[in-house]
Amino acid sequence: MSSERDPVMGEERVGEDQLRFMAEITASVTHEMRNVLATIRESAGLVGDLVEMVPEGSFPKKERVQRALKSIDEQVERGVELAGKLNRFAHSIDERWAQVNLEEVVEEICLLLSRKARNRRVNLVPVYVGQGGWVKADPFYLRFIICYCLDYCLEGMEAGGSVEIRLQASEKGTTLKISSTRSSGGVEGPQAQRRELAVESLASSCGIEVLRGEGQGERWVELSFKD
Amino acid sequence: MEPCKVLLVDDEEEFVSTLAERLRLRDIVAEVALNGEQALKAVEERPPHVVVLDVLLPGMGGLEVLRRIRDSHPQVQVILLTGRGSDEEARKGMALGAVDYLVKPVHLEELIAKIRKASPCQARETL
Repeated sequence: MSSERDPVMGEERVGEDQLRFMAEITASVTHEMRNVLATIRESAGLVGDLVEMVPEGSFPKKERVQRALKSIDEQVERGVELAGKLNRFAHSIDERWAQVNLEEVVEEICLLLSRKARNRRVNLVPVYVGQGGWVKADPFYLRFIICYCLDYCLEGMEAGGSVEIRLQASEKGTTLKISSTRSSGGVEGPQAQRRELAVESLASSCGIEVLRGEGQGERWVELSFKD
Repeated sequence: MEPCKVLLVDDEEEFVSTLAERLRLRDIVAEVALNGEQALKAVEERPPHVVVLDVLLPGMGGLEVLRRIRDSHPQVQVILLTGRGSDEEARKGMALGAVDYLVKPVHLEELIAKIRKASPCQARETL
């Protein structure tokens, strides 16, 4: 394993090969999760079929069973969406440079980070303005940068606040502004500062300009994409 | 019109046998194969109207099974089941002659609609 210091990863010990290995395993497991969910859906569906066939009036709890089955189906749908987004996230490392739909990436990240936000009792609010939002980027680094910016905005947030992720696409260009309310400022210190600089440098190498600021309970980062 | 005869090919036994049971409740003649070899044998001995074929089969892969079915029994229509987020496998399968594809887990009504579209046979979408 490589022990080189990475400008972005800091003192961490993972290199590209190890990341690819993890992504491959993750993608493979998401496929298996689909099989699990498919079996749950069919088994619940079969119970529903059998309940449906019971003569009217002879099964007093029929409606309750049907409600429970509907709930199972909804949870399967939720699992499918999570597995799908996680699969896409894992495959983002496959290509070094690609046309990426930012709206899809924002949706993916919001779903994958929804638990983290919920733990902090914070809402993630995606907002899409304009059509398009296609940019050329390294799909993995792009996700890394956006997740980092989200983390930056989540830091120091109080419960009940929200993080808006506003994608604005127009002829002038595409921007992604992430801003938080009820923020009392983030973690300061040399390590945080080094990380911020490293991410900005990474973004710059990907052709993304980063602006950020804070004040009056708000913290924000804006990413501007060059065509 | 003849009832639909469908061969379901998937190595997830619990999934495929339950799916077959649900199709039978809708008057569809459903048979199960758990691998490529079993599928080819079933097609040879009892040609179905439609094969619903998982792409990621262990051993002989789904796309190879598809290719062989299209060679030996061109009248048999094949619908692919993919479990991936990417459409790459589906694209390859359509190029090899699959008539349609679905991503797992499927919605039964959607599957039946696709079976009926693929072949002029009889199937009920509801119980």
